[in-house]
Amino acid sequence: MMRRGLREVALLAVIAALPASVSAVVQLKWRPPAPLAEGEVSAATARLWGEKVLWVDARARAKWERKKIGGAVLLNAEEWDASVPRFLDEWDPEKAIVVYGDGAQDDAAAGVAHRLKEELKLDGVWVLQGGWDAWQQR
Amino acid sequence: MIEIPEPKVIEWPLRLALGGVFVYAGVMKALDAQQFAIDIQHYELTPWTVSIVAAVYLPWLEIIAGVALLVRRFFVGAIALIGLMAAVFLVAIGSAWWRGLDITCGCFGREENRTNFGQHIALNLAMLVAAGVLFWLEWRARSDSPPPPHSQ
Amino acid sequence: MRFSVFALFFTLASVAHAELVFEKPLQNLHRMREDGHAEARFAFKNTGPETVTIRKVRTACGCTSAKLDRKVFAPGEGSEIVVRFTFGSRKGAQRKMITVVTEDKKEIPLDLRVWVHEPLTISPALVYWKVGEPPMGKTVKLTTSDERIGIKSVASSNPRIAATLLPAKPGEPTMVTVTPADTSQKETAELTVQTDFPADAARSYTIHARVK
Repeated sequence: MMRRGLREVALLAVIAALPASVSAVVQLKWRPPAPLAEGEVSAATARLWGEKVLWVDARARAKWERKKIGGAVLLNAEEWDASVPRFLDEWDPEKAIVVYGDGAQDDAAAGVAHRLKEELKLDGVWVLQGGWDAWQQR
Repeated sequence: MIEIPEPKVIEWPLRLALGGVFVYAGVMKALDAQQFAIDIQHYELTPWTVSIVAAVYLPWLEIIAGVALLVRRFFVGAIALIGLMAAVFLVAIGSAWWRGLDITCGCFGREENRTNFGQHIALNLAMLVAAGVLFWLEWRARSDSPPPPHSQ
Repeated sequence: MRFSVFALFFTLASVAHAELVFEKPLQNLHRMREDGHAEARFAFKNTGPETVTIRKVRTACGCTSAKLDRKVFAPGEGSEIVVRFTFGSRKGAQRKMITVVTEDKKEIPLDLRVWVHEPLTISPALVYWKVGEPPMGKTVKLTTSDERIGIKSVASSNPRIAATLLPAKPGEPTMVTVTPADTSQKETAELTVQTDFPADAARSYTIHARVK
Protein backbone atom coordinates (compact mmCIF):
# COMPACT_ATOMS: atom_id res chain seq x y z
CA MET A 1 0.00 0.00 0.00
CA MET A 2 2.90 2.34 0.74
CA ARG A 3 4.40 1.87 -2.71
CA ARG A 4 1.02 2.45 -4.33
CA GLY A 5 0.48 5.48 -2.14
CA LEU A 6 3.81 7.00 -3.21
CA ARG A 7 2.99 6.39 -6.87
CA GLU A 8 -0.35 8.10 -6.44
CA VAL A 9 1.22 11.04 -4.62
CA ALA A 10 3.63 11.51 -7.52
CA LEU A 11 0.81 11.26 -10.06
CA LEU A 12 -1.38 13.80 -8.24
CA ALA A 13 1.60 16.13 -7.89
CA VAL A 14 2.22 15.99 -11.64
CA ILE A 15 -1.46 16.51 -12.44
CA ALA A 16 -1.54 19.58 -10.18
CA ALA A 17 1.51 21.05 -11.93
CA LEU A 18 -0.41 21.47 -15.20
CA PRO A 19 -3.10 23.95 -14.11
CA ALA A 20 -0.57 25.55 -11.76
CA SER A 21 1.64 26.38 -14.76
CA VAL A 22 -1.28 27.97 -16.60
CA SER A 23 -2.23 29.91 -13.46
CA ALA A 24 1.34 31.16 -13.14
CA VAL A 25 1.37 32.50 -16.67
CA VAL A 26 -2.07 34.11 -16.45
CA GLN A 27 -1.80 35.63 -12.99
CA LEU A 28 1.83 36.58 -12.76
CA LYS A 29 2.60 37.67 -16.31
CA TRP A 30 -0.58 39.47 -17.25
CA ARG A 31 -0.80 41.64 -14.17
CA PRO A 32 -0.46 45.34 -15.01
CA PRO A 33 1.51 47.42 -12.51
CA ALA A 34 -0.78 49.26 -10.06
CA PRO A 35 -0.83 53.05 -10.61
CA LEU A 36 0.90 55.11 -7.95
CA ALA A 37 -1.40 56.98 -5.57
CA GLU A 38 -0.61 60.58 -4.65
CA GLY A 39 2.50 60.71 -2.48
CA GLU A 40 3.58 57.15 -3.29
CA VAL A 41 6.85 55.95 -4.71
CA SER A 42 7.49 52.51 -6.19
CA ALA A 43 10.13 50.16 -4.78
CA ALA A 44 12.06 50.38 -8.05
CA THR A 45 12.28 54.18 -7.91
CA ALA A 46 13.12 54.23 -4.20
CA ARG A 47 16.00 51.83 -4.89
CA LEU A 48 17.35 54.26 -7.49
CA TRP A 49 17.37 57.05 -4.89
CA GLY A 50 19.93 54.99 -3.00
CA GLU A 51 21.62 56.88 -0.16
CA LYS A 52 19.39 59.92 -0.58
CA VAL A 53 16.59 58.24 1.36
CA LEU A 54 15.78 58.15 5.05
CA TRP A 55 13.69 55.02 5.51
CA VAL A 56 10.93 55.16 8.11
CA ASP A 57 9.37 51.94 9.35
CA ALA A 58 5.72 52.38 10.38
CA ARG A 59 5.23 48.73 11.38
CA ALA A 60 5.14 47.21 14.83
CA ARG A 61 8.38 47.29 16.80
CA ALA A 62 8.75 43.49 16.77
CA LYS A 63 8.77 43.46 12.97
CA TRP A 64 11.25 46.35 12.79
CA GLU A 65 13.57 44.56 15.21
CA ARG A 66 13.35 41.34 13.23
CA LYS A 67 14.00 42.76 9.77
CA LYS A 68 13.93 46.21 8.23
CA ILE A 69 14.99 48.10 5.12
CA GLY A 70 18.60 49.04 5.84
CA GLY A 71 18.95 51.74 8.50
CA ALA A 72 15.22 52.39 8.79
CA VAL A 73 14.08 54.44 11.77
CA LEU A 74 11.08 53.12 13.67
CA LEU A 75 8.22 55.62 13.77
CA ASN A 76 4.78 54.17 14.26
CA ALA A 77 1.47 55.45 15.58
CA GLU A 78 1.78 53.48 18.81
CA GLU A 79 5.15 54.95 19.81
CA TRP A 80 4.86 58.32 18.07
CA ASP A 81 5.71 60.64 20.96
CA ALA A 82 8.68 58.57 22.11
CA SER A 83 10.03 57.97 18.59
CA VAL A 84 9.78 61.45 17.02
CA PRO A 85 12.94 62.85 18.74
CA ARG A 86 14.98 59.86 17.53
CA PHE A 87 13.54 60.23 14.04
CA LEU A 88 14.42 63.93 13.99
CA ASP A 89 17.99 63.13 15.05
CA GLU A 90 18.32 60.90 11.97
CA TRP A 91 16.40 63.24 9.68
CA ASP A 92 18.30 65.15 7.01
CA PRO A 93 16.47 67.92 5.10
CA GLU A 94 18.48 66.94 1.98
CA LYS A 95 17.11 63.38 1.95
CA ALA A 96 13.73 62.08 0.89
CA ILE A 97 11.72 60.41 3.61
CA VAL A 98 10.15 57.13 2.50
CA VAL A 99 7.70 55.53 4.90
CA TYR A 100 6.75 51.88 4.62
CA GLY A 101 4.21 49.65 6.32
CA ASP A 102 3.45 45.97 5.96
CA GLY A 103 1.85 45.87 2.54
CA ALA A 104 -0.64 47.22 0.07
CA GLN A 105 -3.62 46.79 2.37
CA ASP A 106 -2.04 48.46 5.38
CA ASP A 107 -2.47 52.20 5.87
CA ALA A 108 -0.07 52.65 8.79
CA ALA A 109 2.55 54.16 6.46
CA ALA A 110 0.02 56.57 4.97
CA GLY A 111 -0.93 57.61 8.50
CA VAL A 112 2.67 58.24 9.56
CA ALA A 113 3.48 60.12 6.35
CA HIS A 114 0.38 62.24 6.88
CA ARG A 115 1.48 63.18 10.39
CA LEU A 116 4.99 64.04 9.26
CA LYS A 117 3.55 66.43 6.69
CA GLU A 118 0.73 67.91 8.78
CA GLU A 119 2.27 68.13 12.26
CA LEU A 120 5.98 68.51 11.58
CA LYS A 121 5.42 70.31 8.24
CA LEU A 122 8.07 68.22 6.51
CA ASP A 123 8.55 68.15 2.74
CA GLY A 124 9.75 65.27 0.62
CA VAL A 125 7.72 62.61 2.42
CA TRP A 126 6.74 59.55 0.40
CA VAL A 127 4.95 56.28 1.05
CA LEU A 128 6.48 53.10 -0.40
CA GLN A 129 3.89 51.54 -2.71
CA GLY A 130 3.14 48.02 -1.52
CA GLY A 131 5.21 48.48 1.66
CA TRP A 132 7.54 45.84 3.07
CA ASP A 133 5.87 43.14 0.93
CA ALA A 134 6.75 44.99 -2.27
CA TRP A 135 10.34 45.61 -1.12
CA GLN A 136 10.77 41.87 -0.52
CA GLN A 137 9.75 41.04 -4.08
CA ARG A 138 13.16 41.37 -5.61
CA MET B 1 -20.66 -3.19 24.91
CA ILE B 2 -19.67 -0.32 22.61
CA GLU B 3 -20.84 -0.77 19.06
CA ILE B 4 -18.20 0.20 16.51
CA PRO B 5 -19.88 1.80 13.49
CA GLU B 6 -19.35 0.49 9.99
CA PRO B 7 -16.22 1.96 8.43
CA LYS B 8 -18.29 3.55 5.67
CA VAL B 9 -20.31 5.52 8.24
CA ILE B 10 -17.07 7.11 9.43
CA GLU B 11 -15.41 7.33 6.05
CA TRP B 12 -18.15 9.12 4.08
CA PRO B 13 -18.46 12.27 6.21
CA LEU B 14 -14.70 12.50 6.72
CA ARG B 15 -14.04 12.20 2.99
CA LEU B 16 -16.69 14.76 2.12
CA ALA B 17 -15.63 17.23 4.79
CA LEU B 18 -11.90 16.93 4.22
CA GLY B 19 -12.13 16.82 0.44
CA GLY B 20 -14.62 19.70 0.38
CA VAL B 21 -12.50 21.89 2.66
CA PHE B 22 -9.39 21.35 0.58
CA VAL B 23 -11.14 21.99 -2.73
CA TYR B 24 -12.74 25.18 -1.38
CA ALA B 25 -9.52 26.41 0.23
CA GLY B 26 -7.56 25.63 -2.93
CA VAL B 27 -9.98 27.51 -5.19
CA MET B 28 -9.95 30.59 -2.95
CA LYS B 29 -6.17 30.71 -3.03
CA ALA B 30 -5.85 29.85 -6.72
CA LEU B 31 -7.92 32.93 -7.62
CA ASP B 32 -5.26 35.29 -6.27
CA ALA B 33 -1.80 33.75 -6.28
CA GLN B 34 -0.10 37.10 -5.75
CA GLN B 35 -1.95 37.72 -2.48
CA PHE B 36 -1.31 34.12 -1.36
CA ALA B 37 2.40 34.60 -2.05
CA ILE B 38 2.33 37.67 0.19
CA ASP B 39 0.51 35.69 2.89
CA ILE B 40 3.17 32.94 2.68
CA GLN B 41 5.88 35.59 2.89
CA HIS B 42 4.39 36.82 6.18
CA TYR B 43 5.39 33.53 7.79
CA GLU B 44 9.01 34.52 7.19
CA LEU B 45 10.02 30.94 6.43
CA THR B 46 10.81 31.14 2.72
CA PRO B 47 12.52 33.50 0.29
CA TRP B 48 10.26 35.36 -2.14
CA THR B 49 10.91 33.03 -5.10
CA VAL B 50 9.89 29.97 -3.11
CA SER B 51 6.80 31.81 -1.82
CA ILE B 52 5.72 32.59 -5.38
CA VAL B 53 6.21 29.00 -6.55
CA ALA B 54 4.35 27.66 -3.52
CA ALA B 55 1.55 30.21 -4.00
CA VAL B 56 1.01 29.09 -7.58
CA TYR B 57 1.38 25.35 -7.02
CA LEU B 58 -0.07 24.59 -3.57
CA PRO B 59 -3.66 25.67 -4.26
CA TRP B 60 -3.84 23.33 -7.26
CA LEU B 61 -2.36 20.52 -5.23
CA GLU B 62 -5.10 21.12 -2.66
CA ILE B 63 -7.80 21.11 -5.33
CA ILE B 64 -6.53 17.98 -7.08
CA ALA B 65 -6.03 16.09 -3.80
CA GLY B 66 -9.43 17.22 -2.54
CA VAL B 67 -11.18 16.09 -5.74
CA ALA B 68 -9.29 12.77 -5.67
CA LEU B 69 -10.50 12.25 -2.13
CA LEU B 70 -14.10 13.11 -3.02
CA VAL B 71 -14.28 10.78 -6.04
CA ARG B 72 -12.17 8.11 -4.34
CA ARG B 73 -9.55 7.89 -7.05
CA PHE B 74 -5.85 7.67 -6.16
CA PHE B 75 -7.29 7.56 -2.69
CA VAL B 76 -4.19 6.65 -0.71
CA GLY B 77 -2.13 9.26 -2.49
CA ALA B 78 -4.80 11.89 -1.84
CA ILE B 79 -4.93 11.09 1.88
CA ALA B 80 -1.15 11.18 2.10
CA LEU B 81 -0.96 14.55 0.33
CA ILE B 82 -3.72 16.08 2.40
CA GLY B 83 -2.20 14.78 5.61
CA LEU B 84 1.21 16.13 4.58
CA MET B 85 -0.22 19.55 3.70
CA ALA B 86 -2.16 19.73 6.97
CA ALA B 87 1.03 18.86 8.85
CA VAL B 88 3.04 21.51 6.98
CA PHE B 89 0.38 24.19 7.60
CA LEU B 90 0.30 23.15 11.27
CA VAL B 91 4.05 23.57 11.60
CA ALA B 92 3.97 26.93 9.77
CA ILE B 93 1.16 28.34 11.91
CA GLY B 94 2.72 26.99 15.10
CA SER B 95 6.03 28.55 14.11
CA ALA B 96 4.38 31.92 13.45
CA TRP B 97 2.60 31.78 16.78
CA TRP B 98 5.81 30.84 18.58
CA ARG B 99 7.65 33.74 17.03
CA GLY B 100 4.82 36.18 17.76
CA LEU B 101 4.21 37.05 14.13
CA ASP B 102 1.15 38.99 13.10
CA ILE B 103 0.22 37.22 9.90
CA THR B 104 -2.98 39.00 9.01
CA CYS B 105 -3.83 42.66 9.33
CA GLY B 106 -0.90 45.03 8.85
CA CYS B 107 -1.80 47.34 11.77
CA PHE B 108 -1.09 46.92 15.41
CA GLY B 109 -2.28 48.11 18.71
CA ARG B 110 -5.37 47.20 20.65
CA GLU B 111 -7.74 47.51 17.75
CA GLU B 112 -5.86 45.25 15.31
CA ASN B 113 -7.31 42.09 13.79
CA ARG B 114 -5.04 39.37 15.09
CA THR B 115 -4.91 35.87 13.64
CA ASN B 116 -6.79 33.42 15.81
CA PHE B 117 -3.88 31.04 16.09
CA GLY B 118 -5.69 28.64 18.38
CA GLN B 119 -8.53 28.27 15.90
CA HIS B 120 -6.22 27.69 12.93
CA ILE B 121 -4.11 25.17 14.80
CA ALA B 122 -7.19 23.30 15.98
CA LEU B 123 -8.56 23.17 12.43
CA ASN B 124 -5.34 21.83 10.92
CA LEU B 125 -4.97 19.33 13.73
CA ALA B 126 -8.51 18.13 13.07
CA MET B 127 -7.71 17.74 9.36
CA LEU B 128 -4.54 15.84 10.16
CA VAL B 129 -6.45 13.51 12.48
CA ALA B 130 -9.17 13.06 9.84
CA ALA B 131 -6.54 12.13 7.25
CA GLY B 132 -5.01 9.73 9.74
CA VAL B 133 -8.38 8.07 10.40
CA LEU B 134 -9.06 7.72 6.65
CA PHE B 135 -5.61 6.21 6.15
CA TRP B 136 -6.18 3.75 8.98
CA LEU B 137 -9.60 2.73 7.64
CA GLU B 138 -8.15 2.15 4.19
CA TRP B 139 -5.22 0.20 5.55
CA ARG B 140 -7.59 -1.95 7.66
CA ALA B 141 -9.86 -2.54 4.68
CA ARG B 142 -6.95 -3.71 2.57
CA SER B 143 -5.59 -5.89 5.38
CA ASP B 144 -9.01 -7.53 5.87
CA SER B 145 -9.50 -8.21 2.14
CA PRO B 146 -8.26 -11.58 0.92
CA PRO B 147 -5.07 -11.35 -1.12
CA PRO B 148 -5.45 -11.67 -4.90
CA PRO B 149 -4.84 -15.19 -6.22
CA HIS B 150 -1.29 -15.79 -7.51
CA SER B 151 -1.16 -16.07 -11.29
CA GLN B 152 0.39 -19.27 -12.64
CA MET C 1 -5.45 45.58 -8.27
CA ARG C 2 -5.71 41.79 -8.37
CA PHE C 3 -6.46 39.95 -11.56
CA SER C 4 -8.02 36.54 -11.90
CA VAL C 5 -8.89 34.35 -14.85
CA PHE C 6 -12.60 34.95 -14.23
CA ALA C 7 -12.25 38.73 -14.03
CA LEU C 8 -10.28 38.66 -17.28
CA PHE C 9 -13.13 36.88 -19.12
CA PHE C 10 -15.68 39.22 -17.54
CA THR C 11 -13.96 42.43 -18.59
CA LEU C 12 -13.39 41.16 -22.13
CA ALA C 13 -17.09 40.37 -22.48
CA SER C 14 -18.42 43.86 -21.63
CA VAL C 15 -17.71 46.93 -23.70
CA ALA C 16 -18.63 49.59 -21.12
CA HIS C 17 -18.78 48.71 -17.45
CA ALA C 18 -20.71 50.53 -14.74
CA GLU C 19 -19.12 53.27 -12.71
CA LEU C 20 -19.50 54.41 -9.14
CA VAL C 21 -18.74 58.07 -8.59
CA PHE C 22 -18.14 59.41 -5.13
CA GLU C 23 -19.01 63.03 -4.34
CA LYS C 24 -16.15 63.47 -1.88
CA PRO C 25 -13.71 60.54 -1.86
CA LEU C 26 -11.41 62.55 0.43
CA GLN C 27 -12.80 63.89 3.70
CA ASN C 28 -11.11 65.98 6.36
CA LEU C 29 -12.54 66.02 9.86
CA HIS C 30 -11.48 67.55 13.14
CA ARG C 31 -12.39 65.93 16.43
CA MET C 32 -11.44 66.29 20.05
CA ARG C 33 -9.75 63.33 21.69
CA GLU C 34 -12.72 62.96 24.08
CA ASP C 35 -15.04 62.35 21.13
CA GLY C 36 -13.54 58.89 20.82
CA HIS C 37 -14.52 58.41 17.22
CA ALA C 38 -15.24 60.17 13.95
CA GLU C 39 -17.88 59.27 11.40
CA ALA C 40 -17.79 60.18 7.74
CA ARG C 41 -20.38 59.60 5.03
CA PHE C 42 -19.13 58.89 1.55
CA ALA C 43 -22.06 59.44 -0.82
CA PHE C 44 -21.90 57.87 -4.26
CA LYS C 45 -23.96 57.27 -7.37
CA ASN C 46 -23.86 54.75 -10.21
CA THR C 47 -23.36 56.99 -13.25
CA GLY C 48 -22.75 54.15 -15.67
CA PRO C 49 -25.15 52.29 -17.97
CA GLU C 50 -24.96 49.00 -16.06
CA THR C 51 -25.77 47.71 -12.60
CA VAL C 52 -22.86 47.79 -10.17
CA THR C 53 -22.44 45.31 -7.34
CA ILE C 54 -20.15 46.18 -4.48
CA ARG C 55 -18.35 43.02 -3.42
CA LYS C 56 -16.81 44.43 -0.26
CA VAL C 57 -15.65 47.58 1.48
CA ARG C 58 -12.17 46.96 2.82
CA THR C 59 -10.59 48.79 5.72
CA ALA C 60 -7.01 48.35 6.80
CA CYS C 61 -7.68 47.57 10.43
CA GLY C 62 -10.29 46.94 13.08
CA CYS C 63 -10.25 50.56 14.24
CA THR C 64 -12.12 51.56 11.11
CA SER C 65 -15.48 50.06 10.16
CA ALA C 66 -17.61 50.66 7.08
CA LYS C 67 -21.37 50.20 6.72
CA LEU C 68 -23.35 49.94 3.52
CA ASP C 69 -27.11 49.42 3.43
CA ARG C 70 -27.10 47.37 0.22
CA LYS C 71 -24.71 46.16 -2.42
CA VAL C 72 -26.46 46.30 -5.79
CA PHE C 73 -26.99 49.61 -7.56
CA ALA C 74 -28.87 50.05 -10.81
CA PRO C 75 -27.89 52.91 -13.16
CA GLY C 76 -28.75 56.20 -11.50
CA GLU C 77 -29.01 54.72 -8.03
CA GLY C 78 -26.81 55.75 -5.18
CA SER C 79 -26.28 55.49 -1.46
CA GLU C 80 -23.58 56.25 1.09
CA ILE C 81 -20.88 54.35 2.92
CA VAL C 82 -20.72 55.28 6.58
CA VAL C 83 -17.18 54.99 7.87
CA ARG C 84 -16.50 55.05 11.58
CA PHE C 85 -12.97 55.55 12.83
CA THR C 86 -12.44 54.83 16.52
CA PHE C 87 -9.24 56.63 17.37
CA GLY C 88 -8.70 55.24 20.87
CA SER C 89 -5.35 56.52 22.07
CA ARG C 90 -4.36 57.92 18.69
CA LYS C 91 -3.93 61.66 18.36
CA GLY C 92 -2.82 64.24 15.86
CA ALA C 93 -3.24 63.93 12.11
CA GLN C 94 -4.69 60.51 11.37
CA ARG C 95 -5.32 59.05 7.94
CA LYS C 96 -7.35 55.96 7.15
CA MET C 97 -7.74 54.40 3.74
CA ILE C 98 -10.89 52.56 2.74
CA THR C 99 -11.18 50.56 -0.48
CA VAL C 100 -14.46 49.84 -2.25
CA VAL C 101 -14.18 46.65 -4.32
CA THR C 102 -16.80 46.07 -7.00
CA GLU C 103 -17.80 42.76 -8.53
CA ASP C 104 -15.76 43.50 -11.65
CA LYS C 105 -12.67 43.80 -9.41
CA LYS C 106 -12.44 47.59 -9.69
CA GLU C 107 -10.98 49.14 -6.54
CA ILE C 108 -12.04 52.65 -5.54
CA PRO C 109 -9.95 54.28 -2.78
CA LEU C 110 -11.57 56.51 -0.17
CA ASP C 111 -9.46 58.71 2.09
CA LEU C 112 -10.54 59.71 5.59
CA ARG C 113 -8.33 62.24 7.38
CA VAL C 114 -9.13 63.05 10.96
CA TRP C 115 -7.22 65.49 13.10
CA VAL C 116 -7.63 64.29 16.66
CA HIS C 117 -7.07 67.41 18.68
CA GLU C 118 -5.49 67.36 22.05
CA PRO C 119 -6.45 70.07 24.54
CA LEU C 120 -3.41 71.94 23.22
CA THR C 121 -2.47 72.01 19.54
CA ILE C 122 1.05 72.96 18.56
CA SER C 123 1.75 74.24 15.06
CA PRO C 124 4.26 73.57 13.75
CA ALA C 125 5.54 70.86 16.06
CA LEU C 126 9.01 71.19 14.52
CA VAL C 127 11.13 74.26 13.84
CA TYR C 128 14.53 73.94 12.22
CA TRP C 129 17.39 75.82 10.66
CA LYS C 130 20.00 74.64 8.24
CA VAL C 131 23.60 74.98 9.35
CA GLY C 132 24.74 78.43 8.30
CA GLU C 133 21.23 79.83 7.97
CA PRO C 134 20.65 83.16 9.78
CA PRO C 135 19.58 82.31 13.37
CA MET C 136 16.26 84.20 13.13
CA GLY C 137 13.58 83.36 15.66
CA LYS C 138 10.75 81.13 14.45
CA THR C 139 7.22 81.23 15.85
CA VAL C 140 5.13 78.35 17.08
CA LYS C 141 1.41 78.74 17.68
CA LEU C 142 -0.21 77.13 20.72
CA THR C 143 -3.99 76.80 20.44
CA THR C 144 -6.07 75.60 23.37
CA SER C 145 -9.45 73.96 22.89
CA ASP C 146 -10.44 74.55 26.49
CA GLU C 147 -10.27 77.99 28.12
CA ARG C 148 -9.42 76.32 31.43
CA ILE C 149 -6.00 75.45 30.03
CA GLY C 150 -3.28 77.89 30.97
CA ILE C 151 0.21 77.78 29.58
CA LYS C 152 2.62 78.21 32.41
CA SER C 153 6.07 77.94 30.85
CA VAL C 154 8.23 76.75 28.01
CA ALA C 155 11.63 75.26 28.80
CA SER C 156 14.37 74.16 26.40
CA SER C 157 16.52 71.04 26.89
CA ASN C 158 19.42 72.83 25.16
CA PRO C 159 20.65 76.23 26.39
CA ARG C 160 21.82 77.02 22.86
CA ILE C 161 18.22 77.05 21.61
CA ALA C 162 16.02 79.43 23.60
CA ALA C 163 12.26 79.54 23.84
CA THR C 164 10.29 82.65 24.76
CA LEU C 165 6.62 82.70 25.66
CA LEU C 166 4.97 85.79 24.20
CA PRO C 167 2.17 87.51 26.12
CA ALA C 168 -1.12 86.25 24.76
CA LYS C 169 -4.10 88.45 23.97
CA PRO C 170 -7.39 87.16 25.35
CA GLY C 171 -9.10 84.73 22.99
CA GLU C 172 -6.04 84.42 20.79
CA PRO C 173 -3.49 81.59 20.53
CA THR C 174 -0.31 81.80 22.54
CA MET C 175 2.89 82.28 20.58
CA VAL C 176 6.33 80.90 21.39
CA THR C 177 9.43 82.23 19.72
CA VAL C 178 12.29 79.76 19.31
CA THR C 179 15.74 81.17 18.60
CA PRO C 180 19.10 79.38 18.28
CA ALA C 181 22.19 81.09 19.64
CA ASP C 182 23.80 80.42 16.29
CA THR C 183 23.58 77.89 13.46
CA SER C 184 27.27 77.11 13.06
CA GLN C 185 26.78 73.50 14.10
CA LYS C 186 24.06 70.89 14.42
CA GLU C 187 21.87 71.26 17.50
CA THR C 188 19.01 69.37 19.09
CA ALA C 189 16.41 70.65 21.53
CA GLU C 190 13.10 69.44 22.88
CA LEU C 191 11.06 72.32 24.26
CA THR C 192 8.60 71.41 26.98
CA VAL C 193 5.40 73.42 27.12
CA GLN C 194 4.00 73.09 30.62
CA THR C 195 0.29 73.69 31.17
CA ASP C 196 -1.70 73.88 34.39
CA PHE C 197 -4.48 71.56 33.30
CA PRO C 198 -5.82 69.26 34.62
CA ALA C 199 -4.99 70.59 38.07
CA ASP C 200 -4.16 67.20 39.60
CA ALA C 201 -1.99 65.98 36.68
CA ALA C 202 -0.97 68.98 34.62
CA ARG C 203 0.06 67.96 31.11
CA SER C 204 3.07 69.01 29.13
CA TYR C 205 3.63 69.08 25.35
CA THR C 206 6.72 69.12 23.16
CA ILE C 207 8.04 71.40 20.46
CA HIS C 208 10.98 69.92 18.56
CA ALA C 209 13.83 72.18 17.45
CA ARG C 210 16.82 71.23 15.29
CA VAL C 211 19.74 72.84 13.55
CA LYS C 212 20.62 70.45 10.72
